Amino acid sequence: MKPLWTLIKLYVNSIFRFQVMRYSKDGRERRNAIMSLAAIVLIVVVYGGMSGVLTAQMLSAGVDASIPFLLVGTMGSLFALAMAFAQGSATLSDFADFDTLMGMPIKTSTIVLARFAAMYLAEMVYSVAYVLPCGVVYAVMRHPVWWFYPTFMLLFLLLPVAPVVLGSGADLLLSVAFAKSKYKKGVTSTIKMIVLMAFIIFAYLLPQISESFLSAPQRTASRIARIYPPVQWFASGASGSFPLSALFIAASAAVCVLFLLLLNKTFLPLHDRLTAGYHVKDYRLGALKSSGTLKALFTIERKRFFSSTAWVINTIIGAVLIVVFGVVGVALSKTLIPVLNAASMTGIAPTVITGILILCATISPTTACAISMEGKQSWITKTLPVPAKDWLNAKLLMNLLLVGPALLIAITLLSIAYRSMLNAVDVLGIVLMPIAAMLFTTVFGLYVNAAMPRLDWETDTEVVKQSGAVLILVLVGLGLTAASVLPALLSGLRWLTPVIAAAVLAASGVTYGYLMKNAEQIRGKL
Amino acid sequence: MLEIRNLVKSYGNGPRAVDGLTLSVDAGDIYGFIGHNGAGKTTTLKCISGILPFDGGEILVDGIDVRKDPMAAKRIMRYIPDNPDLYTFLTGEGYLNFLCDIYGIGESERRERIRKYAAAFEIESKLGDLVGSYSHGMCQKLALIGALIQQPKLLMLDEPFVGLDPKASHTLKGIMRELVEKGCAIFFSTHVLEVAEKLCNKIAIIKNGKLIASGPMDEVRGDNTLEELFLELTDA
Repeated sequence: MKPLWTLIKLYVNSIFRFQVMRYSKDGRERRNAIMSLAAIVLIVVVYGGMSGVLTAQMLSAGVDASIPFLLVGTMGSLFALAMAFAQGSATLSDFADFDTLMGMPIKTSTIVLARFAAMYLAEMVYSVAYVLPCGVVYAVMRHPVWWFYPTFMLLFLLLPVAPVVLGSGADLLLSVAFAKSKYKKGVTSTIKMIVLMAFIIFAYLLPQISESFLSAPQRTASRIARIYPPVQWFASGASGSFPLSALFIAASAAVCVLFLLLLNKTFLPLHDRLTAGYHVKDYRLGALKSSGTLKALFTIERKRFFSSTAWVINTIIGAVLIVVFGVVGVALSKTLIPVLNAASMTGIAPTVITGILILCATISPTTACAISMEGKQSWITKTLPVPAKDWLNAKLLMNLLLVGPALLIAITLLSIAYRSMLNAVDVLGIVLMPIAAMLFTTVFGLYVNAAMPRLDWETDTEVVKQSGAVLILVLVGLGLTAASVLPALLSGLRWLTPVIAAAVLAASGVTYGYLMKNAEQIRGKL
Repeated sequence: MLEIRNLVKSYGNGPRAVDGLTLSVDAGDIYGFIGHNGAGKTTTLKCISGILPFDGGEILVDGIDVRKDPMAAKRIMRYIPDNPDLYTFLTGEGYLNFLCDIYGIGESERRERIRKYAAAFEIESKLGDLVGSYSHGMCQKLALIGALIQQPKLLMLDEPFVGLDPKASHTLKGIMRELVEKGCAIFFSTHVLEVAEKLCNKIAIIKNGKLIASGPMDEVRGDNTLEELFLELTDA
């Protein structure tokens, strides 16, 4: 048990960086680690608050106790499934210290178990955020019998197990299937992207689902139960059904044990297959094209970006959603415009369009982890005769070229489709505000990452999903969206949006100026 | 070619990793830099190459102050770390082409140089593969090719022979001699004293961040072998 516990502690430390917080003599590094943890806690608190409020509303409305458990159980399971699908193969097989660990006198089964436990613990964050507050609110409002508490704790702890198994298993299969392809990263990223899009569309539908939970709870519950029965067992178990509690516990344990046995048996060949890579037969050096410094640096940035599935999935989603929103918005315009006109709500259209575009454009800029993604390769750019300004500009360009075209397409489509409802000031707001917000989060993302770089990562997931800079930018994006559209919405003064856009543009300019002025210093401090 | 004057470098509030180091490397020198683990060799090399800022002293590369004009200094020198982490997401060819773009090497010239050194290190057929699939030794070879195609005036290598197969080590020694004949200066750290003894015309020994011996190999070594001298000085 001791090696297992040691490894789990090692991975938990790697994710949450407790030792850095406690022992690092580098104040900056310590601050970064504390900020990262604080950002995770903040996100848990925000989601937890939402879950608690929703549960309280449902229970007050007199719905069956299993319904809120079903809703939060679905959310927690879906998030765990999506996250495990995004990082399963990198965490379970293709990880950086594989050789070191396999060379130690540690049983393969211990390593497998420790890696699985590390992933499970990381996914538990979502369960803690969604499920725990629901249980607490239920306990406060319904005063259940004493055995609810131990049963709920057990169900709560086991909730992410099956989704983690399913998600990581699917990712492993996908990675194995394309392991020897030249376009391995591109193909797997695209497939993951499509799956994630489906997940996000489902998540967007959740408000409607929660409404239907209130209006027709049993019908909605049975629909979800048909898709994923364990969540129904979990919900019924948490709200008092002992047989279904036992069924959920037994099923989760069985799935987990079977998966771990299979993984243990295939661990070495799996790693071998995943790391084999693509090899060219009969390679001959052909013509080599030259390019300027900035273009060369941008090429490196582009290739680095597309080589990281986690980075692509985490950031390209905004651009994809912008295009989807633009196209869907145009498709629905003939239906929506008469409805909004009839309800005398034409004033709300520019705010909604602007708000959604800003939210998508700022959801996760590539720049928030662009410096951290250099990792142990940062020595290369530090030793090259490359102006640090070009180095930073290449990183800024990556996000702008990813989000900018999507934004321009959506702005053009929506401005034309809804022109009958928009005046010149509205159009100015729709054009300026999302672009200003994109520019600001692009430069501010790089600014935050420069202040909180993390180069000592083992898997890219640590910086793409769990680093302080990325989590801060998620909150900045949400805050900027609210600050951009709420003043005009609440006051009815439509000209406020272009004014705010001008202020955001100015802030972007100041931040960019700071980055350029201190570029050499930023690179030197890495 | 390389002038280090009274170099001082500490990490945080810790003791000085490099403490008042002064030495000079001339064009045509193969200068060996030896010392025990943690003596300050890598720190010194990183300070010269611009990876680490330093607390005091001066470093001049071909008369250019690396602090005042780092870009100009970096254009004429190249550093290869002991364990080079290269861009795993590029092919070998892509990595070398990137370096050629940065150093402004023309299209026909780069092809010729890449061919020459890739053939010398016998990795020509592997240049189409992703660097992520390379072994440690192949990464080392690719990093060396990346440095050599630039034709630097000052080449700095941290433990260059670690990870190389005997033939590649032999090739590298030949290339090092060829480069210094053309006026390049080579400054490299090593723990392999036999290699240093046979290859270097000058040597410096560092202990706890301080230079304890330096100069032409024959003068520093005297009647001893380099190993005897090293043990005598570092055990004292």
